[in-house]
Amino acid sequence: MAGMSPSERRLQKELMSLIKDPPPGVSVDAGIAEQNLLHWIINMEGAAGTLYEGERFQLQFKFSNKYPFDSPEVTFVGPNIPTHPHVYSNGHICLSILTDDWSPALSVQSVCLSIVSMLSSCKEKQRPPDNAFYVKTCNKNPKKTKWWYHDDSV
Amino acid sequence: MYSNNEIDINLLLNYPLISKSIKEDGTVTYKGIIEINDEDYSVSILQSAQNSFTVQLPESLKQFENYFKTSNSPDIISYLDLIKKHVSSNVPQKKPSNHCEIFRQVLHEYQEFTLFFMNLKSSHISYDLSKINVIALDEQNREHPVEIRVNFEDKANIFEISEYDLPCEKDKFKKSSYLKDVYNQFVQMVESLQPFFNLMDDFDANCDILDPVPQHRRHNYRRIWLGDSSSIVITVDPFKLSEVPVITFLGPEGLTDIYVSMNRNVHNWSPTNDLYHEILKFIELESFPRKPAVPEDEKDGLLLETGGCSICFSLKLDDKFPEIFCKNKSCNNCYHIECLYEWLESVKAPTVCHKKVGACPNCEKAISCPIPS
Repeated sequence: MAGMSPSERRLQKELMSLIKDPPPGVSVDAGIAEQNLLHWIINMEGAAGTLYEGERFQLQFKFSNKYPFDSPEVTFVGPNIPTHPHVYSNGHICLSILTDDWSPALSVQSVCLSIVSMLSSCKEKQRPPDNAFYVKTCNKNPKKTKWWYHDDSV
Repeated sequence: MYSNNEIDINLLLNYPLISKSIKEDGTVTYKGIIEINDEDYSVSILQSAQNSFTVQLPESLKQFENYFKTSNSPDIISYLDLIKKHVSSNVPQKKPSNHCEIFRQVLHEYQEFTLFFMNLKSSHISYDLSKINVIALDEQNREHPVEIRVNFEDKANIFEISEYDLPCEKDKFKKSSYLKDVYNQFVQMVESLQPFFNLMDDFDANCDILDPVPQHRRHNYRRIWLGDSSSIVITVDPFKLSEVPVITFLGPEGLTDIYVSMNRNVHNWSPTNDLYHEILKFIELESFPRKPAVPEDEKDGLLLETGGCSICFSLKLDDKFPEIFCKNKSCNNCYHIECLYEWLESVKAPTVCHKKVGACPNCEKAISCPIPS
C-alpha cells in the first residue's frame, strides 16, 4: 500500500475488512467502492424480528480526503428509504455520531451497526414530524444541517 | 606602428577568421573567431573613432569583458593579442586524464587482497574498477557486506569504505591507497562488535521483534512484544555494552512494574558474556512472552491489528509505532502522536503545558498528546 495517504490506506483497510468479514445483514458494493474509494454503496437488510424484517435498503457513504478526521456523509439512497422517525424521506439521517459526536475511532462498520440498531429499536414506522418542511428546505448535504438530537430512544 | 593597410594584412596573417567592416560614422567592427588553447571563441570588437576598443565575448568568457574595457591598445592586433594572452593564462586547459597507472595499481591491490584474506565469502570488482564489493564472514559465520569505492583522482586515498551495515559512523574508517589497510579497518570493526551482534541475535531468536523489521546489523535497538498493547524498547551502545542499556516501556502505565525492577536492580548490574540473560534478570523476567500465532486468513480480516493506531488503523505511520496509550484500562486504545494531535487540533482542544488536552476518540476519557516534532 505504498504511496497511499494515511486516509486512503485506512479506507482501503476498512473496505477489505468489510468485504471479507461483514457484520450480519450488511454488504458493501465492492465494484463501486473500488472505482472510487471516496464513494461507497452499502446494502443493508432489516434485522429479523424487527419492523424492517425482509426489507432492503441502500446506504451511500461519501468521504472527504480528511477522513477519518472528518465524518463521512451518510444517507439512504435507492428505491426504499426506511420509514423511521429519524430518517427523512430524502434519505437524510438524524444520528449524532454522523456529525457532532463523530470520532475518528469510529468506522464504516460501526456506523452501519449504529444504523442497524437505530432501525431495530423502532416501535412505530413513521416519518419525522417535520419531514415535509425539512425535505423542502434542507441542504443537499445532511452534514450542513444543524441537527437537534432530541430523542435517543429510537 | 602599422599603417592601415599593413594592419589588414597582419590581421589576416595572425587572426585569419576575423573580418573587418567600416560604418559611415567611422566606427569599425571586427567580427569572427579566435582560437585560444585549442578552443574557438566567437568575438565581436568595436573600434570607436577615438581608437578605443570594446569587446563582446561569448558567455563562457563574459567574466573577462570588464578587464579588456580598461586596457589600452594601439591597434586591433595588439588588442587581440592581449585577449588571447589573458584568457589563455586564466582559463584552465582541458587535458585528457590518464588513469592507466592507477588502473594497474588498483588491479594489483585487488589481486593481493583476494589472496591475502581468508574470511571472504565473496568479492567482486566492478568492470569499470570504480567499486569493490566484499562479503566478509565473522567468527560466528555472520555475513557482513561492504562496498569500497575507488577514487582515481586522489592518488593518496584511492580506496574508501562507502557502504556497510554496521552501527558506526563513516568517519571511523580512514581512506588509504592500500586496499588491505582499508579492509582491515572494517574487519577490526566487525570483530570489536561481536558481543553486540551476539546480543542482538539472542533478541532476534528469542523474542517477537516489532521494530526494526527487518533487523539489520546497524540497528542498535529492539522493540519487543510483551502483550497486545504493550512492548519494551531496549537500546544499547554497541561500543559500551557493559553499561546499563536504555529500556523504555510502551503501553498503559498501570501494566508494568519493569521500572520498579530496574530501579531495584540497577546497582546489581554486572555485565557478563551472557548479556541477554543479564538484561532479563535486570527487568525481572524469566523470558520474553511470545506472541500467539494468528492464522493468516484471520489477520487479513482484522480491521485494527494488535497494537495499531485507532485513528489511522495502521501499526506503522512513517515508520513510527503508536506511542500514546489511553490511560483508561478498559479502553487501552493507542494512537500515533501525529494522528491524535490532528484530531485534537480539529476539535479545537486546548493546549496546556505544550500538550493538547482532550478526550480519547474511543472512550472519551481524558487524554493528552504532545506536539509532534
